[in-house]
Amino acid sequence: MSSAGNRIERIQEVLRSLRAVSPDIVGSAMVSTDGFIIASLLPSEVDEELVSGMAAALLGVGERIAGELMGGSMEQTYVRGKLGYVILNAVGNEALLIVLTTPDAKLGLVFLDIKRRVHELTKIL
Amino acid sequence: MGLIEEVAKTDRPVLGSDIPILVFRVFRHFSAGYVEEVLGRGAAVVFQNGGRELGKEAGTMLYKPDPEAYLREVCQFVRDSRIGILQPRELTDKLLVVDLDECITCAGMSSIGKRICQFEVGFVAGVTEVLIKKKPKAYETKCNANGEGTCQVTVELG
Repeated sequence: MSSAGNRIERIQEVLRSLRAVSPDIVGSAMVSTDGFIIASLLPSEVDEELVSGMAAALLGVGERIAGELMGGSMEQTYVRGKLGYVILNAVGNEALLIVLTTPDAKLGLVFLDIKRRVHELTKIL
Repeated sequence: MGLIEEVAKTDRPVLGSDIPILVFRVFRHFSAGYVEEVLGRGAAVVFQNGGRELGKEAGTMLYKPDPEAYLREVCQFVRDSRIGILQPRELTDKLLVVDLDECITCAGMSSIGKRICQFEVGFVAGVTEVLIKKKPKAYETKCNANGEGTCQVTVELG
């Protein structure tokens, strides 16, 4: 397997472990900031190409808002919907992690799990 | 009906269907400037993906199974539409490099120190996607707006 293929497999493994550690997490994906899916465990009905574009745009908005309103950098953006949360977390400067949860997810625990996995993903990248 | 066919319908008996390039550029650069202000680096993805959608639709209309014939067709379309003069510079199994001379967006502009033709990058990526049947990575490797004398798009095929 090529080193790129090996890296994607390792990222996929981190995404699997994230889902395994919490029943509240129902899907996840790693996306590059230029809008490409790197690895995905999103539900099959999700249009991954569209989601990756939206995630990159949302990351940009998050960064702009964090910078303009709080004068700092963005770490995380989340959207709460009726069916759950979508959490976006920057992974280094070139990628982001998208996590989908159930509506009743215990966010504190989910955030902690995400923080650990982001650390692992940063090292893999 | 695709978006190209839809927007091709015009009803301007007094003003006609041609506009000066200045008008196109004013619309383009003002909207791009604001979108960039709001979306930051996310703006590049939005413009590139918009260009991809156009490239895929145009590519589907122009498609020919022979890659060289298809590329010729695309170049002719770009020229006839006066988007620019598209000239293939390199084609291997890994890379496609094309120059876009007389680019509709930036040819003749003074250097502003950055590459700005993400929509055109997306367009080239979109027409390439029709040919190779997968979403390729593409980026701008030269831009008039960056003082590089032409616009150039590099597409990763492999």
